[in-house]
Amino acid sequence: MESTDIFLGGEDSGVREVQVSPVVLFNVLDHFIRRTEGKKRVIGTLLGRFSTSGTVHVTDSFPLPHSESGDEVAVDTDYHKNMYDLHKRVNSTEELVGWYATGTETDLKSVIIHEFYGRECVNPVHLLVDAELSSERFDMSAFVSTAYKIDDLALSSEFRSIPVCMKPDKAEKVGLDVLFKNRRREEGDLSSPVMASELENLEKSMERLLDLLDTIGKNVDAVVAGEVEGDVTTGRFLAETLTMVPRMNAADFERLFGDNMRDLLMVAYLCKLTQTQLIVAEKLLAVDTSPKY
Amino acid sequence: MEKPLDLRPSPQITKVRLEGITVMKVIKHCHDNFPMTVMGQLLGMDVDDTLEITNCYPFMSQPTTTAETGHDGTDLSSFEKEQQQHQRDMMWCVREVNIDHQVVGWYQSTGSQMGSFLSPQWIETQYNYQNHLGNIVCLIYDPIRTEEGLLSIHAYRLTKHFMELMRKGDFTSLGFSNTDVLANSIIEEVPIALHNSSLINAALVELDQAEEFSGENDVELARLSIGDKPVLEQSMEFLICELDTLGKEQSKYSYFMRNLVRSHGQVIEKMRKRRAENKKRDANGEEPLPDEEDVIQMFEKEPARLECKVLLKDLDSYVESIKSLASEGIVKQYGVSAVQAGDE
Repeated sequence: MESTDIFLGGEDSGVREVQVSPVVLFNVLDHFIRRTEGKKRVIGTLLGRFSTSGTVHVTDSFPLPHSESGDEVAVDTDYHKNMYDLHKRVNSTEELVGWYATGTETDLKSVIIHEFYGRECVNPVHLLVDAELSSERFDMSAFVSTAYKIDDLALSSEFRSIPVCMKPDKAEKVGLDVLFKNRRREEGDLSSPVMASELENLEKSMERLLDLLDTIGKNVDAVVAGEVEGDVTTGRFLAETLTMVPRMNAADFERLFGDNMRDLLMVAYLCKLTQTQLIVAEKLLAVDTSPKY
Repeated sequence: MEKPLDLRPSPQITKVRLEGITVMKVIKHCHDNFPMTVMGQLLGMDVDDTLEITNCYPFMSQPTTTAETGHDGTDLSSFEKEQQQHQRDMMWCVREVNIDHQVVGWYQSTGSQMGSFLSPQWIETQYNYQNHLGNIVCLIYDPIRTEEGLLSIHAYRLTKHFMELMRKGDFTSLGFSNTDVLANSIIEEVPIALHNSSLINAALVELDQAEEFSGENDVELARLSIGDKPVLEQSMEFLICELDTLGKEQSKYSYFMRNLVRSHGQVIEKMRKRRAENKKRDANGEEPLPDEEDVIQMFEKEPARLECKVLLKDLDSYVESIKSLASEGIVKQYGVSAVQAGDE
């Protein structure tokens, strides 16, 4: 039987992937907590940049007041314009890339809001965050709208799902790590201090490293004894890691070690000396110089 | 001037409760603009003795052309006006979406300054805040140290003693001695506790497990890298530079002291003459010459000691951070030697 179906592909928007920075997730959740009473969901604007490879980097966001009743939806366009202008003045590199909403699915109102954003920028992305945890996870999904057209006649449009990932940069990771630790602390795990100093951090890292070495050592022993079957990838990885340790003869290393150590001890010594000098300088300042007559 | 202070109802805060969202926003803003130093406003509220910081927004950064337009006052003040307008608009915007809109302080990144922030301008700003709004802290964020794996964010405010001194405006050595202000007691640190709402905590649990934060992306293991020498070196360079400035300040001071001693004799001589003349005029029934005030004026004014104090405090914090960097280096050295020894 011959098929009479017409297959329509939506237009390609060129957006392949969305990268969200953690601060956006924080912003969305905070906005959700502070929503006006009785509101089901909140929406806001996403800021960032489009890259040529088809990835959208979402680096910031701000909330946008809106109201829904029945099938109607109203967005505070003045607020949007104001806030966007204000943001532009602080950060001129970030542009409008789309909008976010909380919830799990897109509906008719989403289309209306999406159309609004479509007028503000080309190919807006829509980020949906499940802030109510209805799936017991923070599911984040991203959509782009694609139009179905025959020639120039737009028939319909569709939200097409695209992958989302989170790419924190180094400083953000450090910040988040502290927040993770803080959370564990709140739950009663008091082993790590909140605002640790360098040495405390280092101690933790060392412990972690020893722990990992211990695990791998046990695993290797087990394989050697024939209790566990060896895993090829693990073995290769171990071999590669071991060859990465530079081989030095003992005398050279001794010299290098000594040099470095002397440098560091010298620095420590100079620090103490400077501190003493500073105290003396302070005392000199305290001399009473008011004229006596 | 004193009035608003007397009306201040809330007690002095003793700790800061910082929301995670603020930490993340500050980090983002400061790193976007690195190595420039940037500032922003902190929002929240004070509850009893705790200052809750729940949100923040960035200030506009100074236009880069300031250096050229700085002398020409008009441009600068137009920027200030724009800045104020920006803040007003921003406050309106945050109020609209139910974010706390009480100003509880400001934040500043130290940019490429290796953690140094204390300057007469900083003190001026903080003084104005504290004088008008009472419970105000300044969060200082160091992007370089954070990049190295240590979240460096601290809350500071001016001490009570120093506020008194500022109000008097007496920055002579005598002024400092009278109010008992040492370099170390210009500012004080307020302890920070982190806090997050349950919803964000739930998100953190999930992120904690995520791929982006484990394996080779784990911060805890990344900290073990041994390439932090440039940071140490740069800190040392800054330290040396500041020490030079301190040396200059001190030689300026000793120059002043020398002049003071030298002019002492002349002044006494002048005063003696003036008194004799006044006595003569008195005898003749003439108006006496004005009091000895103008003679005292001949004493050279003592240069303001504030900058010097600030410098001392700054140096002290440099030394502290270098010390901790050095001790970290020593520990890592031993770590490396252990790896090598095992290799033999």
